[in-house]
Amino acid sequence: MLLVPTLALVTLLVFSIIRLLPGDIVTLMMSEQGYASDKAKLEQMLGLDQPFYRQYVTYVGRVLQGDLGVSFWTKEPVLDEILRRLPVSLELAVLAMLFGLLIAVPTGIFSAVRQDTWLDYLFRTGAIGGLSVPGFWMATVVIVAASIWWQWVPPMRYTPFARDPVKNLSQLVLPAIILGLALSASVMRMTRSMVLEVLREDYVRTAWAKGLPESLVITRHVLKNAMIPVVTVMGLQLSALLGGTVIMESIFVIPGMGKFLLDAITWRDYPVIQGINLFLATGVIALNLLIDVVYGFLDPRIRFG
Amino acid sequence: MRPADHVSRRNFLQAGALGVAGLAAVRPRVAWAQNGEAKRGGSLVVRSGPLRGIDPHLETWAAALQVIHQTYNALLKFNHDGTKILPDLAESWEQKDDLTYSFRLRPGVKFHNVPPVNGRELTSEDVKYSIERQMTDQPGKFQHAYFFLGKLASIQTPDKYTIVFKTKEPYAPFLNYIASPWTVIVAREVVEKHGDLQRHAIGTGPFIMQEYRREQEAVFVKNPNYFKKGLPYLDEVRLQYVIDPVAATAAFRGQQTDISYLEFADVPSIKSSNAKIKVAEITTMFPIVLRTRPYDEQRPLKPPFTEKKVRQAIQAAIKQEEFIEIVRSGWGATMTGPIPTYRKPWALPASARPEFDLKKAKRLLTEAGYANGFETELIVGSPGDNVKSAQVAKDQLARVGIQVNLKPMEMAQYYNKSYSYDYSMSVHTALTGEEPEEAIRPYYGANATYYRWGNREIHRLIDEQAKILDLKKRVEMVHLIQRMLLDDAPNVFLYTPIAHYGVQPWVKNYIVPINAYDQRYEEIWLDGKKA
Amino acid sequence: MSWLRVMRGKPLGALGGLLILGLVATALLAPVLAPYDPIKVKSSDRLRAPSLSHLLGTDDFGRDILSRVIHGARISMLLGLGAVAISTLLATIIGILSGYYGGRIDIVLQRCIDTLMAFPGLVVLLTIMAMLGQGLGNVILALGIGGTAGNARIIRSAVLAIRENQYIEVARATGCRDWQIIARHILPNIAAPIMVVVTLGLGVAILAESALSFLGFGVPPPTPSWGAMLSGSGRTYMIQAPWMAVFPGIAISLAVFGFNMLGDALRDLLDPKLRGGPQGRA
Repeated sequence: MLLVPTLALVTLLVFSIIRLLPGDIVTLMMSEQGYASDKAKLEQMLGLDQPFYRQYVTYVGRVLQGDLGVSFWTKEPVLDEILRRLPVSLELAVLAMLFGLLIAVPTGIFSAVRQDTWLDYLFRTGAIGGLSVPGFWMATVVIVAASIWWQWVPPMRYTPFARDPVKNLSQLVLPAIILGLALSASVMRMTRSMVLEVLREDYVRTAWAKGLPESLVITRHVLKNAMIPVVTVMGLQLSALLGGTVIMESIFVIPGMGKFLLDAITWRDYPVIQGINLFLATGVIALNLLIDVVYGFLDPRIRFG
Repeated sequence: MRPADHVSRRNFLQAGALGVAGLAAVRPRVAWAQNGEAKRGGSLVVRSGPLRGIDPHLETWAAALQVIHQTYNALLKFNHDGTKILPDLAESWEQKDDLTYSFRLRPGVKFHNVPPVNGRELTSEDVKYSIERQMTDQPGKFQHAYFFLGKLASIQTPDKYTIVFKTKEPYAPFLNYIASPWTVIVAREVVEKHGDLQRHAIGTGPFIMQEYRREQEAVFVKNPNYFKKGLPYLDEVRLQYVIDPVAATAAFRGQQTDISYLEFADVPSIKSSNAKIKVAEITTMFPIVLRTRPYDEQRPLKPPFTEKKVRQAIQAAIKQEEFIEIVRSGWGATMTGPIPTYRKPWALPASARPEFDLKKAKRLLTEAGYANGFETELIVGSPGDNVKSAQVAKDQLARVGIQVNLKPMEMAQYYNKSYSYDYSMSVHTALTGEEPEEAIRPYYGANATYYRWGNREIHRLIDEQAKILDLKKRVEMVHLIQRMLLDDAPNVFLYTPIAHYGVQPWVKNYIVPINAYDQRYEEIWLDGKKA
Repeated sequence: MSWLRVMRGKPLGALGGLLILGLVATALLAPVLAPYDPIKVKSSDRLRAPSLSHLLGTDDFGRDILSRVIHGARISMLLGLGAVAISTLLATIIGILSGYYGGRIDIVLQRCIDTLMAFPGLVVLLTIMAMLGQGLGNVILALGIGGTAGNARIIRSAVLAIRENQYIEVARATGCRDWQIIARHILPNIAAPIMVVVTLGLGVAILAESALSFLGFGVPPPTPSWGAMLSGSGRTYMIQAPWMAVFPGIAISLAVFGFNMLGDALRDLLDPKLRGGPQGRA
């Protein structure tokens, strides 16, 4: 399908770009660590002495066998490192989306139903407000305030959910809310406009005319149809989330993929950068596919159309 | 801190260089050490600095010492303010003659009971192996190979517990380097099994490494077979890596960490939150330096730095106090040369400090032919305090007509550029050590790697001073070298930061050492920590 | 369209518009408005709380915060306009090519866009910054390139919607050249979505710059960018001198708020489906 060429493009793009980054890894390693007796040997060790196309082909070959290579710095297999961090990032992203939805959907609906009233303005202002304050600043203020007033600080080390759900959640809840707030602005807007649109549809007007109570109209008719595009949007946000968590991961000491990628870029750890990007790209594309399928399923017009 | 202990910052600055009173302020009072009943058990959580690798012979980032010193020992070690050498693995030592040093190991010291060493006994062979590994001649420029490489004639192990070193010539720094926190004893099997020690730490130390996740934390558990009977008291040590300073301070305030580096701006609020928290003020071993272009045979100097007067003019235009005030809010010590002023008698006296004199600077520039100043570029690693220092430097040099274009770069690129020795100016954090030549030889010596300065006379003197065993004569020569460096002015020494370390009230019997990364917790106990 | 009626109909948008007007005015008049030099270091005046001589206080270098915030408006506008100009230009070109010509060009370009969108935004920015090095110009370039993909998609769908219109068919049939059709019919009709994209993009650029600053990749000092003021010394001295961060933070929030409100209102106004009005609802 079209999946393959896109993926191929992705890997090629990443592969080339990171080799264009100034400050190549060989000089970096040489100058600081003395990993090998000379530059040539180090290059050979890292496989960088081969011409570009050969490196790329070797890489793709290995990927198809499930081998994403080994981190230049830590010598651990890239795939393992990614898999170790993926659930953490996913958990944070899912929690963020949950909070985002929890905030955005009710306020969106209210805003639409009470369009142009002060409530509408209040919610819309609030939503945009949540989006206008940089996340790291919100995090800073909350952490410092909490530590001074209540002597409370979120745990600064990660505990998997399975081992201790309370500790796990207490670390992730703050960054999740902050991320969710930024998310909720656009989702709220989308919800609102979708609800508005649906409200004008004939079958809703019929429901009004029939004298159905407002709440029933909303839940039974409006919500279902308005949610479809919202779900789509949320799905797309996932990719932004997975990488955009870099800042939250730095501040709250969460061992996720965002920070991992940032460090890899900083230290020119090529296999890690490639591996993560490949992973993310595949994930996003697969997700888009999934959404298209689900979309088709949900919307009867598309299913039968 | 008790009032009697406290020397205010103002006094600090007014006194200029550190006198005896200053030294007392720098050295935390022995009163912190408790002579109470030690309590066993508990987990100590310490905020860790940034870690890269933890191989004691290949790594140079000082934070690695935090890990290294939980798990390894050396033959000797320094006391907490670096003024005395104490026994560690060696129970006694003797300098037989100018060239010969003999050490007697403690019998019965065991490696950790962990594969592949499985608790076997440490012998003199291990010492020989470790020293030889450290003085590897594999290039990679920032190891500590320069400690002994080319200086030793032989290492002999006449029996299981005796090692005899013979140097080629008299080598004054020998004992200091043996006691250096980097010269720890490792086991051959571990190196052979893993290739290097960057991710594994198996030694004879008070704690056994249980988990090591570089970007998050390192966890250590008590070594039940530690050769110092009864130690350690703690069950566990956790080094937590929190990169964001705001979060790290909050973690300390929230009692999640027991010992932590603190930002100076947060110290007043932490002290007021709990009077029982102890905050140590340590003048660090990492001075901030304003560098001009390096040079050697392959890389000649480029104008305007070819003119000594230009370099001296830069030196005269720099006001150290302004850096300390702006970048550190007063938490810094002025410098009289490459060796920090608290290292007596090696540091130059206050009178030697280059004078701040704008008129002199302008005059020197005019004499050198740059009456209208010149334009140049300054690189600095970002983010960090050095970016601020760079701004202050830019501002100060502008007063004499030198226009500095700042070029902050991400760390990786900055290191690259720095070690290519191809830049006009930079602001850099230098390393010093307990041994005075650590501040000089790797920077200005003949085979220097951290910097390159081609002044042959200085090279010669640096080589000479290492051979002088007579303390007084050696001090004289080290002073001479420093004066020459101040005259040649390749670098301007800006200041030495004073760091703050917070210690929670329930941490007992702990003194924060001057080499703040060289943290040893074998004698600490916890009393009253909430679980 | 009477402006007054429009503004009354969309009060939030009007508020946004006012904020932006204020921002632009401040940016243009910065050298006149600012009471002090925003860059000059004055160690004797460090960390002063807001007072009559320094309305918003001073920072750790002794610089007047009010002056820095005012000049920061200029930097923010520069950043925003520069970034948006780049991304809109690129996005329009791609969107038009893709939407108008369709076929193979469309598929290829779409794949490229999808590829770019698969990477989280911040990561793209960081990679570009790592490649280009630090500096105001590079930040603008990075923000511009980073914003292209999403905008391209929006413009493409707008073009697609128009392409089906009959008068385009007619124009083609009568032999008009492609570029004439694009210039005369397509561009004016996608002006609306472009306006929305531009307005929202300005807000995004300002926020993105503050995120980059936090990670150390933002506008280098001593340039007074709001993001750098907020994420740098502002955080260090948060407890001791909160004014260092509070004021640039408010400035960022007001600016982004303004752009978003304005963009929202524009979108509502220009999208026929959503024009409100109380019709048959509670």
